[in-house]
Amino acid sequence: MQSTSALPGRVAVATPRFTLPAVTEGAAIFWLALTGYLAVAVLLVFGANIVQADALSRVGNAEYVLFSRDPHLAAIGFVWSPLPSLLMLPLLPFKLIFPQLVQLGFAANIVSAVSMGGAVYLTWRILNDLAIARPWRLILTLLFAIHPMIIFYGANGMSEALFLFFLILSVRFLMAWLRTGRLEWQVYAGLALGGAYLCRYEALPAGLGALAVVAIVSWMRGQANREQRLVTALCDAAIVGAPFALAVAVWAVASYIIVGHPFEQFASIYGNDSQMRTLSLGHSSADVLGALVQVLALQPLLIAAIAFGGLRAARRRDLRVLAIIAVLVPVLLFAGWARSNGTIAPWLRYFIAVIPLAVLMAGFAVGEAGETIGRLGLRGRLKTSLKVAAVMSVAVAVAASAAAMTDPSVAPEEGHELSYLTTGGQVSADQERAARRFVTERAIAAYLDGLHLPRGSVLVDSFLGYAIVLSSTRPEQFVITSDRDFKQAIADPSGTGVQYILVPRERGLASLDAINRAYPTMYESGAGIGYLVSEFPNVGDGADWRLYRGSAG
Amino acid sequence: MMVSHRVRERRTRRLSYVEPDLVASRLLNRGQSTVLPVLAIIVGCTLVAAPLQTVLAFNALATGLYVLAFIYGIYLVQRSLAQPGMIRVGDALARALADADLPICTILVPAYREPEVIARVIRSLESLEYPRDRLDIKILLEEDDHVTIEAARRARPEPHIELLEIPLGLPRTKPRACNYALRFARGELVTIFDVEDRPDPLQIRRAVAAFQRVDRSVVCLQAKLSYYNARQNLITRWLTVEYASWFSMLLPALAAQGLPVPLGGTSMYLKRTVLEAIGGWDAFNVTEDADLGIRLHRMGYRTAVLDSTTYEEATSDFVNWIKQRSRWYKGYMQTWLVHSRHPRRLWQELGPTGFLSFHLTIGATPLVPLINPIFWLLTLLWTVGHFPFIEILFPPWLYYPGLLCMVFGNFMIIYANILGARMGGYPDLLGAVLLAPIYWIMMSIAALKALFQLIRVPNFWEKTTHGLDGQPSPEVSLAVD
Repeated sequence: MQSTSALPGRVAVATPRFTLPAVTEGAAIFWLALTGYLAVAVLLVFGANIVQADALSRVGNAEYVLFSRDPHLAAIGFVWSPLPSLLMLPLLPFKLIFPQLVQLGFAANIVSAVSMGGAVYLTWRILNDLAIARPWRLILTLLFAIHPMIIFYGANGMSEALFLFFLILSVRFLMAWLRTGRLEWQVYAGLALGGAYLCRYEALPAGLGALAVVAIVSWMRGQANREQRLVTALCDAAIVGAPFALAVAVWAVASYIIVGHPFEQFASIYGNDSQMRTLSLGHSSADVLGALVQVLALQPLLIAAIAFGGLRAARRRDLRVLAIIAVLVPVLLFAGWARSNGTIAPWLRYFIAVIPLAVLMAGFAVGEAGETIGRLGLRGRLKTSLKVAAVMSVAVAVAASAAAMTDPSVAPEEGHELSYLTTGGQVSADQERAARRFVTERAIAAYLDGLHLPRGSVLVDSFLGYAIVLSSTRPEQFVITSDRDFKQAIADPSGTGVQYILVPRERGLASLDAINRAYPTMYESGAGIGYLVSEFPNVGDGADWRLYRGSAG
Repeated sequence: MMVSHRVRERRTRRLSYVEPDLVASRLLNRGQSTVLPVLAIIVGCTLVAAPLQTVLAFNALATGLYVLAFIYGIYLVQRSLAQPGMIRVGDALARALADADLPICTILVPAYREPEVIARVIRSLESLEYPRDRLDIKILLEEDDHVTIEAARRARPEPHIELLEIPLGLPRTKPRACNYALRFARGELVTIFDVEDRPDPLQIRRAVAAFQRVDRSVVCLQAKLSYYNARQNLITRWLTVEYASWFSMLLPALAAQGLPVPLGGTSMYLKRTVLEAIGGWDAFNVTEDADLGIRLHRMGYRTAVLDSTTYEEATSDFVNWIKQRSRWYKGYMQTWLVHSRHPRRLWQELGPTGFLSFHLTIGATPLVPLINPIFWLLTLLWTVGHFPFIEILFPPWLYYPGLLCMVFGNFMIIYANILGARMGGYPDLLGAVLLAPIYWIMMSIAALKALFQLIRVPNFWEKTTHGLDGQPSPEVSLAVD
């Protein structure tokens, strides 16, 4: 910007006009997505009382580390992966200003909104790397960002958002490696996979897929000498695999040292296997068809997107498509396999990775900008229609999954609460209860707070009682599972200063409650160590609680 | 050649005249010899008065050092991944330089008591692709080393290879010999090769081409070093991985970031005028190369890394390895003590990042292997039986950083070595990298020996035996004349 003075003899002076700092497309997409998911989160949590149990539980893990009666890092818990809870730690001190961060678990929503915003940004970045024309790029990014499953899991605080973030990040780095062969990308891909593992254990198949691709491609690219080739491929795989292996090893060792078993997920009484057995979800879950329906509910034309994308990539000999397939497909295959033999529950979210898979493959189908310019013949039109078809296949998903997510038979986990939002008139009993989730638990917390009890006077297993502990303004009054003297307190409540015992009705998962396991008649009659003080039948979809007061002796 | 003792001294110890305070002839200068005893007394008093606090303070210092070294390591590795930082000169470009444009290059080859290998080095030098009349090769032999002198004469070297006898004097070190020879150097560039070195034949040409490309402040080009007996045994494998990481990854990162670059012992191409101006090598320092690198940086000159490899012989037996490694550590300790003499001047000359980098590269390298065994022992004791005194020594604010450094720091070192091995073209040495913890124990033994030698005989240069690779003299490719 120059403004030359009109006066003779004066030197031209550059006077820059004030301009706003350039906002890059990518930054705009991130911030838009983040704001959108946060807005939805506010609506869900504060407007509709839709709080995910698992999300609140993760907030609980973080809360126990800092604000429980026995604050220590190991309270983060070893049954589930630690990273989502660790990321919430810096937010928790703000609960002094915004108690809802903990009481309603909004800290989890913030973390998931940021992660999903990041995932959207990364998807845009990958589409950018593929050099797709701008309109297509924006459309595909939008189709990813507004997918109902993505919106919901960006807003609801579950760890799927962070998991997707790391998965897509590793896809991006692997793609960069496949294109340039630089060591840098191998290292970062390994780190991203390690991060994914610390979010969810399902990253394991993704890591193995990535290792396989790196080993094979490195071997193919190697020099003539066969032995050297093999060894180079091994070394390259080790470079990607080492950070990943470190994440697995560190977590397993820490778990072994603190709780005595390296893989608590499987061994713990609170873990996945135990819950599956207790709820007898195994049998109803063991149908491959059900899994397939769920996959197709999320991305009905998945096959089309994969086929088109794969074909285009194969024709251009673009190895980068292998990155997407190697990282995302194993996750889905594992989920399908685990469903088919009843290892995991029939939750729709286990197949969430299918969404970035379809979007990115559609990105490959669209192809590089400028490829079809000037080709107005049959081939050109065929290519264009393939592009449109690929994009449509992703667009259809938006409508399809909106329908699926409000149908409890396809989405058993979130179906009830979401369908409550969409039904006009009649609401079922299940929907009513889903809408009133945690209301009773908050009431219990308020009641206990009102008693002004000293430290460590209420014994409760935070496995099911987390909502009570989190809603309380005085979390230190509870003796919970992560406290190092929990086992002692169960064995000898009065001896450890416990005055009250909170116990859930033995139904479903509540049979895994530590107090129920130690005193099977506790709920019914106090097990001879306490008398009933108060009863709290649950108006929501949680357990009924009873509060017992310890009798002397 | 008869020269007076005084002249001889001035030639070999020119640094003492140029920068007396940067010479390692005295381990501690006056300032240091007052400060250190005072510090020792203070520490002694606090140890008696408040033993727990003192030990905690030491623990905090050590943990702080580990954390700094950890961050520094990550920084260097990340920088080297992002940009290679080496200067590449292709074969065609190197050969394209007209002979008439090539400067004279002085090659100094110090040798001492090495009659078996002297013939090899003469053959190896003949493989260099550089015009004979532009080479000024001097084989430096100690005056009283008659065996090697005889063997060298018997090998009948070409006319451009001169056998220079270094008059007797103390300390009997390689840099002293090089300083003496510098007086007779004719070349515009000066480099050193060790007796067993096999340089890349195009190396000098590459250096000349590279000098044309770089900034005027770059007065030194360090070529990469590696080993030709890399796979002889586990020790050579470890050494090769170390060199690969150092020269392919860390050194280029230091050079690219404008941080002080400790030189390697050979294959550094220096501009002779600059070398003379800054006082040559420090005759009293047993790692004169590292010292020179720091001094160059302090005087405002820069070093770059050249992508050309010289193959050396890796020591293959344990005793020799300990001798060599303890000399390296002793030299680093000397270098650190010498350059820390005037901290404010050092800060001004190196800048804040260079200052920090100097302490972490030169100071931490011998220090960390010294304190490692203490922490290994504590970890072992803790694992075996949870002794309460260890818990007292590690309050949470020390425990977590320490744990982080132990787990992630050690992982990072091993991982960086894998990357280094891959970058240097030795992916098959992955197995050796994974056995690194044993190597670390060896390093600690060497560091301890270095500390003892530093106190007792700081200027003693412990010679490494060469010719242990068990190979017959190699068929060296005939030079293109």
